[in-house]
Amino acid sequence: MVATGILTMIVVWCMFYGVIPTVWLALLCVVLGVIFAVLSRHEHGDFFDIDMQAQRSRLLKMSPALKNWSVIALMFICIASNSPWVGLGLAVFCLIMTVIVGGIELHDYVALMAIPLVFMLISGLALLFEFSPEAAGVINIPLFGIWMFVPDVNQAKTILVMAKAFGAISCLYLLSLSTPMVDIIGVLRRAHIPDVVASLMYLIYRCTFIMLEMHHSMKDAATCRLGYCNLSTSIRTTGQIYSNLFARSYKKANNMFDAMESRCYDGDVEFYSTAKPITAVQAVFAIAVIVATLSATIVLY
Amino acid sequence: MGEPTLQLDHISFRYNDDAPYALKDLSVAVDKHEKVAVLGNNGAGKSTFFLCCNKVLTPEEGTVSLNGEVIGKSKKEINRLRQAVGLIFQDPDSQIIASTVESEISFGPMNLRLDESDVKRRIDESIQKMQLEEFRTRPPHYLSGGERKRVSIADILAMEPEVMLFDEPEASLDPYNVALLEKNLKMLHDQGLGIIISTHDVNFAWRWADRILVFNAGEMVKDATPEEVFADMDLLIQCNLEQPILYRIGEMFGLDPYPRYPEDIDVMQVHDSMCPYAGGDGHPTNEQCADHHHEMELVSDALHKHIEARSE
Repeated sequence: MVATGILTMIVVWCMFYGVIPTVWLALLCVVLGVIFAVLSRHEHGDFFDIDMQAQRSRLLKMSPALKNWSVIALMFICIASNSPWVGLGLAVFCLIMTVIVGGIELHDYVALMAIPLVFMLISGLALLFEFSPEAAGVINIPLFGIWMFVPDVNQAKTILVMAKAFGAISCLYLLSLSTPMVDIIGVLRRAHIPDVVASLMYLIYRCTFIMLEMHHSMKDAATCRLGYCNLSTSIRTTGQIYSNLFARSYKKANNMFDAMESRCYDGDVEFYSTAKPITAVQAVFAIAVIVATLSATIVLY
Repeated sequence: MGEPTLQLDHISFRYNDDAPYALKDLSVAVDKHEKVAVLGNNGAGKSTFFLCCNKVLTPEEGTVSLNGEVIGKSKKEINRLRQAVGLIFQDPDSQIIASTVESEISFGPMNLRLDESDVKRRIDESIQKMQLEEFRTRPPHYLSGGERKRVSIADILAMEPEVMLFDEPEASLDPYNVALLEKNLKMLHDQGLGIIISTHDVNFAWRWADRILVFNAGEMVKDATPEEVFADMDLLIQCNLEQPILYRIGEMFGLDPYPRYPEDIDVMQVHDSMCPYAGGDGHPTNEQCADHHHEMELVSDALHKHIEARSE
């Protein structure tokens, strides 16, 4: 995760150079770099179950329908907004709701956030940099006779896109870290999405974890037999594991299917869940957040 | 006498056309209240037999009947069979798919399209029977092996079966959880369920089963009482099975009947079978034998106290 920290520092520097004073920018880069380098670290072999986190959340008992539709509304508003402050504000709000109110560990939240962040940062670099025979940007880097530069227009565009993406992803994590998959699919069923889609969603979600578990145990077994003792052995071992992974996971999924058929599975994956009604307080709070976000979007447009 | 609960007639099955038969011309009937153990080495066809019992694998030949009615190909008939004949898989992780114990147990009843109140009642009853109340809202994948096994049993109990099939239930369980499993099996049997267990543990089969089916290379080579099965040395050699240790102790010391549990061993009877001075009526014939008798009484008392303390 040191690479994530370094990438964060580079992208933040390029995005805000010339926008905020250099000293503050340097401090910001260091702080963000350290946060993502340190807090997003994980032990190799960790198996992070989002559903398990959702089961532990203090927001679990809140109506899943309210959470689901509120998050979707907030995501739409965030993507439609023309100001980066809306996305950033939503990201901070979701962090507070997930970590402080929901009780998820900050370390786990940052580790989860780091996964899409890497893709966002790489996309940010692609949005920032252009190439020209002349040095025409705020940051100019010579490259084999031409210039790789960052125009100020790209800076503004990248800041807006990154803020929107960050805000939207934070909303999704608020939902997935407070609502088990079964509840989310239950909400979508009641919204009349086709049963086959809902069942497929659940099975794909479950089978992803089957493959992860299989990979985890195969990797442990290979490590015990010095399968990662040097680079060439590691590459060979990784290839062998991945070539077997599909076959073994398929067999395990087959066993799972036999067990489901033994319990009269007929194509619909449905579970019993206790009703979680919407309370007045929850409804008022959700509406207030949506109205506030919408108002900010309109005012800052 | 009514029809047997589950009956397989001349079942044959192979996994593909080029493969040898995994099951060949198998016929067996099992009723409620029966305790049946299935023995056989790896690849003998035990798991295939179980999957044919509830028609997850469709036999190439032969029929499966439930309470005298042959189960056809319609979904309704097959669901009726699968509701009545519950199968607990060897690896609970193959069976567990939901994110909480409660929703896992609800999967079967929900597939039966029951009313919500009926589903809730069945979940509550299954959880109570398998003592899973404290795990109700916990993710099953994070429970211990023994707890996951109980969840997988509760899963099937919620479907209110008539016969339960257990595929090597004691595999990878520690001795405490094996004892707990046996207690649960007794509870299920007392409720009137027929139970069929496949196992490699001949000692377990000896002490628990009323009837043993022995499989070898896809064929059922014996269907008899435990006494008859373990007396047949030719069969045991053919199927790579051993005699249970308590059976051997009974045979060695001429005990009658052969003990099924350690506490059934009559230490005095063991002494009388070995001591040359023992009288035929169990009374010592000289001082030396009287001393033995006294020592054996002390050993017997100590053994019974140890067994009682362990069972607590």
